[in-house]
Amino acid sequence: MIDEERCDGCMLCALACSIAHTGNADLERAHITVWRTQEGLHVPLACHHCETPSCTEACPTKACRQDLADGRVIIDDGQCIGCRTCVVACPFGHAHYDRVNRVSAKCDYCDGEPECARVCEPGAIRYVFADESSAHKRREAAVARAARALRS
Amino acid sequence: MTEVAGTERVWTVPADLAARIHAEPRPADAQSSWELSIAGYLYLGGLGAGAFIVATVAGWLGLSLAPTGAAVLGDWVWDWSPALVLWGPFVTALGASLLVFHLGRNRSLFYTACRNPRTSWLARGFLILTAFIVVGCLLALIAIAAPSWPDRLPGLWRVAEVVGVLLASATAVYTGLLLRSIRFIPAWNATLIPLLFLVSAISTGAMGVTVGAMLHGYLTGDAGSAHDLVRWLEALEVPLITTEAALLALYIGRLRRGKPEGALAARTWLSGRWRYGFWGGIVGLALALPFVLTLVNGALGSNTVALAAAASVLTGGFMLRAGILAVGVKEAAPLYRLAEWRARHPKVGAGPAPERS
Repeated sequence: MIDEERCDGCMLCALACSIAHTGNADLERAHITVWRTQEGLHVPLACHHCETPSCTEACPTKACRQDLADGRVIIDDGQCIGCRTCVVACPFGHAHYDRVNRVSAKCDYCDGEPECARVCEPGAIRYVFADESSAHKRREAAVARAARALRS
Repeated sequence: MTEVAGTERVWTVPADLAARIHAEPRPADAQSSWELSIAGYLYLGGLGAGAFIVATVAGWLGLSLAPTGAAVLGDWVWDWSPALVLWGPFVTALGASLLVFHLGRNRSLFYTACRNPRTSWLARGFLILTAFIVVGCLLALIAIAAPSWPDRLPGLWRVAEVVGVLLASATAVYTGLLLRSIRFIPAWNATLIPLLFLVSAISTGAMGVTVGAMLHGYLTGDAGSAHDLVRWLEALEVPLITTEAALLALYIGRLRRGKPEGALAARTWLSGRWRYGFWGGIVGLALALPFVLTLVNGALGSNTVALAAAASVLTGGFMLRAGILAVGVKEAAPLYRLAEWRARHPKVGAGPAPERS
């Protein structure tokens, strides 16, 4: 879950991601990016692991595929030929092309314990189960309503 | 450099963070993953397919180049005339090699690239191009090395030629379908792209065959040997250019009225940073100049004018593909748009964002 209002653009998520996946602090090879909007908001963007991913449809080798067990969209380095079709096909701008390994790469949720969520101090990035995400938003809305009621 | 404590490790933030954060706030630049080599792949694939279609149909109409029988080994006679008009599949193969060089890991291409033809147009294209290259090259090589075979089995030869033309047509259309399959780039995901690329492929192919035909006259010393073929190709070019111009105008009109990124692409072509490439390269070289030259040459019958028109179309055809790739702006990420909207409409009663400790 991404809360862009909490993000302050520190880029620790991208640093942690690149170190975890490549061993180097190389923002260009991180699987998460932080965009700054015209209104000054910072928006962390990573793969959404879509239910019907455009990238898997476009991949000619099935290197980019959906894990049937947990629904993650992953890229198999061994089968990827680096054609970058998934990069142009993704509507969100993920995956990206790793120029060192010469293959496409994207967020893989770090096998269940994402580094970006672990290091995010403002709490802009949180890793929750899908069935909990809507409950989380309902709790936030209830807290906001209660706060307004107390102030009035 | 800034050191940030508070986690298990102290992160040192690189100095280019500010530049990274304050980079282009909206991803409105054209995609850069598919670069000029892809334009070359699309262009040569279409050019080769179009040339094969035109040369084969010309042969059906009796417009062939005079044979140049040359005995090589004893009674073996080969004819190099077909090489000047049936080079299409070889050029498509050359274009496919550009795709191979574009890949990050090209060594595994041939046994992995067609694993997903169910949904991937790149995988389908691998199969279509392979079939066309194999069939087309075989037909060309037989026409060159065994010119008597087609006469011995005319029915089978005609069937093979029809198959070759169908595969060539599929190749030309595929180059447009590959771009159209990218759903989130409005300038590519246009219904007219495959038809535009088909017409452009036949147009450039016809001009390529024109060059080959005139080369035949030069090499044989008989400038008039390909006269009928060249005049037919010129006559074919006028409606092709007209159709291509109409399709291009319709395509740009739809872009301008469609999604914002499509309108941006159209503006980039018409008045933006690609205006010279569009007006000079596409409108000028691919359409206007050859249209005028071929009309004028209908009365003149000059090989020089025909050659100039051919060079213009061949250059303009590449500019068309390069231009479409250059304005491939992706739609803004939905989360991005949501963030911008929420910034303009702050929630009533919401507290401030928590400060970092």
